[in-house]
Amino acid sequence: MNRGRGGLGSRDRSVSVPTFVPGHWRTRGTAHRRFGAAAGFALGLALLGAVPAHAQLGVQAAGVAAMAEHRVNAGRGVEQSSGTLLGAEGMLFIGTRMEFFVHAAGGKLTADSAFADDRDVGEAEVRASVLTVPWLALHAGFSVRSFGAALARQRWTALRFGGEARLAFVGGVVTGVLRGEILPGVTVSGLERPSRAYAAGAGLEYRAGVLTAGLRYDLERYDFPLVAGVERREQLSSLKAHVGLRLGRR
Amino acid sequence: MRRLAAVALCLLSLAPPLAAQSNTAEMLQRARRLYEDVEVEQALVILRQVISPASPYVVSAEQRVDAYKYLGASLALQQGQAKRDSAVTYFRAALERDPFVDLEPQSFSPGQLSAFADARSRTFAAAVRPVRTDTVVPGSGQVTIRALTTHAALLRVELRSVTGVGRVLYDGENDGLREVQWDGLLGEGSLAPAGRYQLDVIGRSRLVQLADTASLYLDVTHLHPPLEDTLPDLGPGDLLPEQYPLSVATGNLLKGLGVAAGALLIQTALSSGDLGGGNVLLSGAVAGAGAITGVVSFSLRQRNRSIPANIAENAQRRAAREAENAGVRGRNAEKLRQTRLLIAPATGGVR
Repeated sequence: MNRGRGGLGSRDRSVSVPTFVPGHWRTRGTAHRRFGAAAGFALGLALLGAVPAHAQLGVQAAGVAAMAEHRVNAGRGVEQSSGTLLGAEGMLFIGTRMEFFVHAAGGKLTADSAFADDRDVGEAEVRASVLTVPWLALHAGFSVRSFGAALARQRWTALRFGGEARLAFVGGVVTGVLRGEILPGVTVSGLERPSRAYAAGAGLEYRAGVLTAGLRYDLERYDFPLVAGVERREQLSSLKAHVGLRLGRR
Repeated sequence: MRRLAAVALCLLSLAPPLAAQSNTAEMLQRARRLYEDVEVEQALVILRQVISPASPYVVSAEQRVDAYKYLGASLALQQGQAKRDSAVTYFRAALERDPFVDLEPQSFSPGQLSAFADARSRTFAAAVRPVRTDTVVPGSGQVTIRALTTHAALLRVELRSVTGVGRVLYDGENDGLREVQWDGLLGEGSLAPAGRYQLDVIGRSRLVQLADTASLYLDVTHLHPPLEDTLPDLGPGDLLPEQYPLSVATGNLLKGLGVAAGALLIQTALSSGDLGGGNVLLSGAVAGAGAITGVVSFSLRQRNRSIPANIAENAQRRAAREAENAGVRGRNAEKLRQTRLLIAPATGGVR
């Protein structure tokens, strides 16, 4: 689906497919990916072991609205676009220790200056979590994101490994959430793999009976290796609000 | 041979008391036979030997009473006031030792009975027979207590527990033997608690200025099927806390502030400086929500620390315990309704 070879965020359509540049960043990126693969394997084993034979099920479905802001610097200054994404999220709870999460959203990010392009965004994510203790969930997931502009479409994929601390406020109505992830297997069409990628978030979940609502701040950061004298930087931050229903076990 | 001699010596050392007991009984039997054969003088000689301090044989209290009784009876058969007075004296000696001693009218002559009656009128004693071990159904069954005054008297038969509660079983005029019934209940109709009781027989003579008291002890035991224990009181470990500790409010505040700090930290420290950092409006919204949530939660928890779910759960536990105990009490009450009293003489007997 790529309509251009160069990465989005740059007016310079002549930028070719980035070439492999050995060096410090690349080396770190390889180690990063190996660590991520090992972490993913370990988490997968933990997930398999955590599924109880007769686990009770619960489900949550929510609508999501997000104010998103995308920033990229491809060597010609920071291009910024922002807009609203709408989508849905779902969670499946298996027993008290396992969760599966799906997320899909889409929308349009409007460039904040004539220097940048407007772009359509679509994203999806799946994630499996295991609660090692009630307040800490370790997860592994996979996400896909697509940026579409007038002249090109760029597809991002990422493996995601991380943990989420859940700070339950006494009374059980509110839970604070702090999340951190490494993204070891990011691929970006038309671009070299980022040498460093991670995501973090903080938010609050409110529950009243079956109703659930939440507010979360997320930040994803991608640092690309030096290519042709340019170290590309991209960042997507968002403020997500969701409202939904939770039924079943938890 | 030596061993045989030792055994023989042992037997000889045991022999004298046995022989003494036996001899006193034989002497009394011989005296009674002589008395019945109207060989009164010979009978008197033997009976005087029995009661003599110089008697080489052991004489039991019962044997001594018997001897005094037959001495009185023998002398009452003889002519003369002196003999009669002596008869009365011996009868009194018998009565003083055992107020229950009596002459059967069909076996003794009117003169003897008259002398005995004279002795009873001059001697005053109150007495009570040891109670035989018996089982009583409270309220309906009865145990018989035999009390006596040697002549006309005001008699009071009173039962008292060691804790002081008791019941007057008889209070009135009496002359001679009186059988008093006890149904196992105390003054207010309540079941006599298990334990030791003192039975006092108090007599005040109507003929002479004398009073006498006899007492005995009874052990009362409740016989019923084994009772169930009620559940113990719920302790701190059995109940859930009904109030949050003060630290919970502070904890909530810190959690809210932690989320706020986390959002701001992500926006400032984890964002790319090359890209101008993160958008403070986005992180600020979560930081604000976290701070507000923390402060509101802190405030609410400080004002209302009760935990409704735990209060309800504790109320359920208390109700369940109370229901269980009510059942136990009901079953125990049914078992107690089947209580029988075992009444037995206590060690110490008659005083």
